[in-house]
Amino acid sequence: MRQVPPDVRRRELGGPDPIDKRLGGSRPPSPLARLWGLLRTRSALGLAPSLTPAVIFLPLGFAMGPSVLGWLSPALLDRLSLAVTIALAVLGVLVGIALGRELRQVRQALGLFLAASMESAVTTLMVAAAALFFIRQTGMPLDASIVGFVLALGLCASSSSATSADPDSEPAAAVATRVADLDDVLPIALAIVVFALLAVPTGASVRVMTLAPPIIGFAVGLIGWLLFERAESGPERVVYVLGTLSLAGGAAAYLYVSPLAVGLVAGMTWTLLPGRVDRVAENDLRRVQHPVVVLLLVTAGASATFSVAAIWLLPPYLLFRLAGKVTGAWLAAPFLDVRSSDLAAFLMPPGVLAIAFALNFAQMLPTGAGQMLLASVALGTAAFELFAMFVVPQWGAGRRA
Amino acid sequence: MASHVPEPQSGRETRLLVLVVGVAVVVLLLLARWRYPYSDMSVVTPSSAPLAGLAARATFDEMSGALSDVVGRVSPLTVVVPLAADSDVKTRSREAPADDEVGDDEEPMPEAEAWGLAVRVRGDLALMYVPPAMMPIRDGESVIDVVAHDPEREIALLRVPPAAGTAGLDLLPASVRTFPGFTFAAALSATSIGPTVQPVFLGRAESLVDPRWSHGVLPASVGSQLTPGTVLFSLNSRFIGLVVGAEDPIIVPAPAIETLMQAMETPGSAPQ
Repeated sequence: MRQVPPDVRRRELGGPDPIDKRLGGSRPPSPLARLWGLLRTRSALGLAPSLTPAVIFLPLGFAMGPSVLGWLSPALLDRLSLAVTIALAVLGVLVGIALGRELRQVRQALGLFLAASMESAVTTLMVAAAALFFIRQTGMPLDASIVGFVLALGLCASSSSATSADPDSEPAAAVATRVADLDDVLPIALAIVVFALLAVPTGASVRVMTLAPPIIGFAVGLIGWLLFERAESGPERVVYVLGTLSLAGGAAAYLYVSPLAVGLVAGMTWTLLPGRVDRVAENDLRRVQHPVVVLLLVTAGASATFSVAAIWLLPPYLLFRLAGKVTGAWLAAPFLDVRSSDLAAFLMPPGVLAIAFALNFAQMLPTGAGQMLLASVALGTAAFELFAMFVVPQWGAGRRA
Repeated sequence: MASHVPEPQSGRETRLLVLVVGVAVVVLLLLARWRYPYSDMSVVTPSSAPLAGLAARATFDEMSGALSDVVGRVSPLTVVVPLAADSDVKTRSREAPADDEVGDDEEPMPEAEAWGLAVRVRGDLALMYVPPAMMPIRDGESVIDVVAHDPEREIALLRVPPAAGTAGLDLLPASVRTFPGFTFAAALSATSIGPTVQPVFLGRAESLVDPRWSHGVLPASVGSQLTPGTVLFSLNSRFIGLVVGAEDPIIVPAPAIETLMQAMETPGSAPQ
């Protein structure tokens, strides 16, 4: 494994600059000065800000929501739910395009994909098992299928974004970024099953809910493949792209199936079919990617009701997501040529997809359970993003010193 | 990448894993010793389906159509059962000759004093509300057996004749699991010629803890005209609950009915 200079990772994550360090020891900075230095250093290096969108927009959404300022009323949030569904389909497409490109190089990507899936499966199972044990032991009331609920919580926990580092900063960050891209695929596929579990448990409905996402996704993919490259102008193509995604989200909402899964299949279809339709879609989606992220985070923050139940569920979620990521990384790292502690550290931020999963399941779960899940995951996401920002840079410091 | 022999983990990585997992398990075991402080879930404003905002608003004609549709779909799931005074039924039973002397057709039965609506929950088993001092009686040719009767909860489990389209039926798992507040529901009740339906708007209500029931129940005042014996279905024909209680009517939700059903099928056990 290539040795990385000890200061590189600290610099990328916003720690003391290596030149400053060599000029001599100084007093430890105050927390405020440290935060300011963190942001300024990353901006100067041209890197993405350390404060991830979740840390900013979740609290902002909560402040704008019915619990505080009331600017986003419950009626408005209800009306936003369709936009959220389409936004989830957009996220699914982005994951699908990334997976499709990895699948083009099957031999090189297979090991990475399996390792990423193993890591996400371990996290899902550990969080689900801990939540199941905790809910049963404490007698916490739940107005939903307990198996479906804990699996949904586990799937939210499995998401990773690797936003705490630039992918080019060091080999471990590059590998972690690809793992973070690919570890969302298994949860999205499993979400199809969880949706079926949470739905009306009749044989016909389970079959419909299991088969509908891939069929709709493939149909949407074919429609996009036929339309996008034949558009006569850029604006016409944008209309086709957005219309196709609206179709994906609307069909998923109508059938109560996962829009993430529909988008994933559509994105994979566009990538694997001949032509450059995946690039066309990606270019157009890039324009709406940031508004989509903001919409999801603000809506999640405003919709979350921080009830006693949500707070009650938070400790097992935080503890076992941490334990799951460390265990998953420990199992996957030998196959990826990285240290497991590095991999676990980079996979710690849940990113937007955790919120997307939570919003997705909250639409399907009964109201009480849905709000509990959304609030727990929102709090957990913000906590892990902060954890990644302040603690992860120190994670390997002792080892490298 | 994965094209080489996996690198063994160092001791530090393994120690980190054991430490993190160990701390998580220990803290979980400690936290799990506490009991959740609130036993009931309060009713919250439900969110609507994603496409609901785009759907056209229902008019009265559409409401009529929706209710007719519900009745058409759930009628096979219901059985109208005649009821008679309990004392009358026992008196007639004592006066009736033995089976070897008089055939079943000649067994005298009291006249029906009221009608109740039983809802098929699984196969040929149906649950119904039985008012105090009343008992289900047979209706003409159809044979209705009382499998179990719980006078405290005023519920009887009946074995009813099979009906077309109910083979393999299992109603409760497909029922509404949480109270659908701020919505219209179909309230079915019995008449001598079959079930009838009324639209009922279910508003907001706080759930009540009743020691007789395993889950929180709701006061029947959450909707108008909800009398004991009324069976509630959502407008998409999913079972919501049953109104019971001659003195203080309450809506017993489907999960509580499910628990009671299991207890009644297992003699000697009581619902938790």
